Amino acid sequence: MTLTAAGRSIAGTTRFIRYAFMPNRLQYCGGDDNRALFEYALADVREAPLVRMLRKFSGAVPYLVLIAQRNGIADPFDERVVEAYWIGNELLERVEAHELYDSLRERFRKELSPRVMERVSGKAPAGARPHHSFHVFDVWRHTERMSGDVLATLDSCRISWGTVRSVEGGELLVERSPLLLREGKLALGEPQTERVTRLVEGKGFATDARPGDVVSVHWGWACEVLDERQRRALERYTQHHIRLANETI
Amino acid sequence: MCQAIPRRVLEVAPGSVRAEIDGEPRWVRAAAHLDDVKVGDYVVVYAGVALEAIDPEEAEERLGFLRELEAMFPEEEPA
Repeated sequence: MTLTAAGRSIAGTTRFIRYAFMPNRLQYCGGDDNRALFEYALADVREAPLVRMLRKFSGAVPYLVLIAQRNGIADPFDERVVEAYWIGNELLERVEAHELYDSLRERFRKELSPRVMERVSGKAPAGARPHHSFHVFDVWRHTERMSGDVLATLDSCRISWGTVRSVEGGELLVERSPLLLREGKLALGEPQTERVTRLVEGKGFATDARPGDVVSVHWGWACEVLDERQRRALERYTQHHIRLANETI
Repeated sequence: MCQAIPRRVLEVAPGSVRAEIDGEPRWVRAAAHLDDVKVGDYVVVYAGVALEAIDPEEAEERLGFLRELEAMFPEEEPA
């Protein structure tokens, strides 16, 4: 882990960008800072302007704050916190997603209308962890029209994992299990071979990926090479939130 | 990120709407059934697609909730 002079992790901001880079490039979230974010991550540099850019990712930051607070970590962009949100790790065992809404309810009890209180109270099902996959599969509870296009979008939006079969220029050929509907329920299918992007303008975050490695994938982008502990955690929390989502589908 | 969030419609064009997303006005694709959406309406946007129209009162409540979440952020670190 790289540390700044103040002793704070900068690898956490870098890891955050590895996962946020592609949806931001596609203009799905965050501010208009994509090139700067990419350069910051490639250089593994953390400074105040970068943190201001990262705060524009309004969906993720509250959960980083929650994970950090419940684990006694001061920095929401600590590497362990960022890993917990995107990939999953033991920090999630000490916090449930509904705690964010509980603390908010406590804080704004007088300001919130009964209707909003009702919505806030029921926001996160019991057992949901502040993991990115909770956000993704929670979309099912917010929309009434779920088409095949939306299923494909969920599959791109979740952080998935794939085993590298070959490196082909700026792409990786990986075997990855797609998200699908099986008897009306979400499930992961048999692994399929597909291409993911590993380089933009000759640069990327999984440049050292080799056949046999497992990479994380977000919006068709190879975010980084995962070790076995990380792959197991990502699979575990993904399957956990699929099960939760299936309770309401 | 990767969440379905209400957005106010700023402009309408065939097959797409312009909405304010994380502080930036952006064009997003509109689902086919949103052909009667108007400026000032609210739509739920998920990953670059406006999925459905939403009651303005509910949209404002959801957005108010998100604003309150932002108020919980710790102070920014100094430059």
